[in-house]
Amino acid sequence: MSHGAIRLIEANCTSCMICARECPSWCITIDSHTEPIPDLPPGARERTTNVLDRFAIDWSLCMFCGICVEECPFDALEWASDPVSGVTTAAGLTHEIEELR
Amino acid sequence: MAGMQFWDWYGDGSTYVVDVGLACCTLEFEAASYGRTSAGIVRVEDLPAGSRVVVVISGTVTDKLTGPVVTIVSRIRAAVPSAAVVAFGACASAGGPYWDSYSVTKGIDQLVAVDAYVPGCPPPPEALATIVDELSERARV
Amino acid sequence: MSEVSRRVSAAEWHEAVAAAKTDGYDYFDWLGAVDQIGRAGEFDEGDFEVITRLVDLAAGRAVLLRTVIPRNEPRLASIVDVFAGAGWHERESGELYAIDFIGGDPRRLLLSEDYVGAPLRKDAVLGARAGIDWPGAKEPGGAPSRRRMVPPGVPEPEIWGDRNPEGEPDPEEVAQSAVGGRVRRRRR
Repeated sequence: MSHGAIRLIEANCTSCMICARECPSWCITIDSHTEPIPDLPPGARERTTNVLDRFAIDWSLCMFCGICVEECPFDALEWASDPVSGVTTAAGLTHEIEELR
Repeated sequence: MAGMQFWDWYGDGSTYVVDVGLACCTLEFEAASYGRTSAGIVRVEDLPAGSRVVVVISGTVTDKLTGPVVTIVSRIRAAVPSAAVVAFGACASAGGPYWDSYSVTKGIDQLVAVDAYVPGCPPPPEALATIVDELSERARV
Repeated sequence: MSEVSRRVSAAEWHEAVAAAKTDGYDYFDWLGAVDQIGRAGEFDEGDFEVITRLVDLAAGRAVLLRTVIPRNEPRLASIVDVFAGAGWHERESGELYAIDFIGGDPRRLLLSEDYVGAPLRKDAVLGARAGIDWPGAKEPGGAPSRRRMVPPGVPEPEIWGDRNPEGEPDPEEVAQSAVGGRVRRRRR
């Protein structure tokens, strides 16, 4: 079977780190920070949410095993139909959020 | 050195592609070259002058194999200085799933200059056809 | 095909292989080694189990001959004079476990000449895993980790590496820690 790239559905990602920890190739990098949840009802305890800053896949390491797609509890990763295209620099093999959409 | 198999990629003598098949990615090269013409030339020095040459390193390069890989690329580049080298697949690009191995070279760009990287484990044959089109400037035709 | 397994002492190894050949097991299948560290009780004579499989093609039977050699003195008689084909297998196990096959071919087979170490020993840590920051070590939200996040395959820093205050790591502790086991440090 021929496989395409892996796509990030940014809105579903909670920065939980599960994919990065499960990846056997260590090819997923995630940076995130926390922000207070705005507009809570008066008197409610202050709560925070994770905000995704960076999600990158290094395609030069990825072995397309799909463990990240399987493990994501929020369905934030899915198979794309097109393969990752060839590039002329090694740095171009790491795709950031914009290219993973 | 034993002979190399050059593929007359477009059948018009313009572009010759040679596969340095080291592991499973070479099967995708075979799929991509299926139906194309073998040039019947086994020495790079015998290629017609002015030919475009693409060297595809497909597969895992172990530390033990670095010598032969460098020798092959050097010999091709000595005869055809413009020859393009393609790191085909994750292993040739950066070690791929063997990134932490004790015996695998973490990317052939540590050994030779690389003109294009094709990610995938393995990449599909179309990805190779596309990059050869780009390197031979046919993509725009 | 019927197969029997036979344990022999290291001193009897060569003799046992030669006897099996005389007995009809004249086809050499393979020879390999296993690092059985941490399985005290089962392997009292040492850590490295060397196994060869010999086949009697005519009678349709096979024998596994197994022996055990100590970690600190990993030496065993070569069987290349009995089965020449065992040469490559001994070279492979020899370099991957640093086992000395006496009378065999000491040349490297698969590893590069400048490689240092015995990578299939269970206390051999992959440098790349230990040397690169594990992307999974970060916590969601970027908060400093409350747990110590050590990736699979890398021993706890107290056991191996810079933070080991006692210097020379104990192979059994390294092997156990690298697979995620909790190590109770021994008193020295």
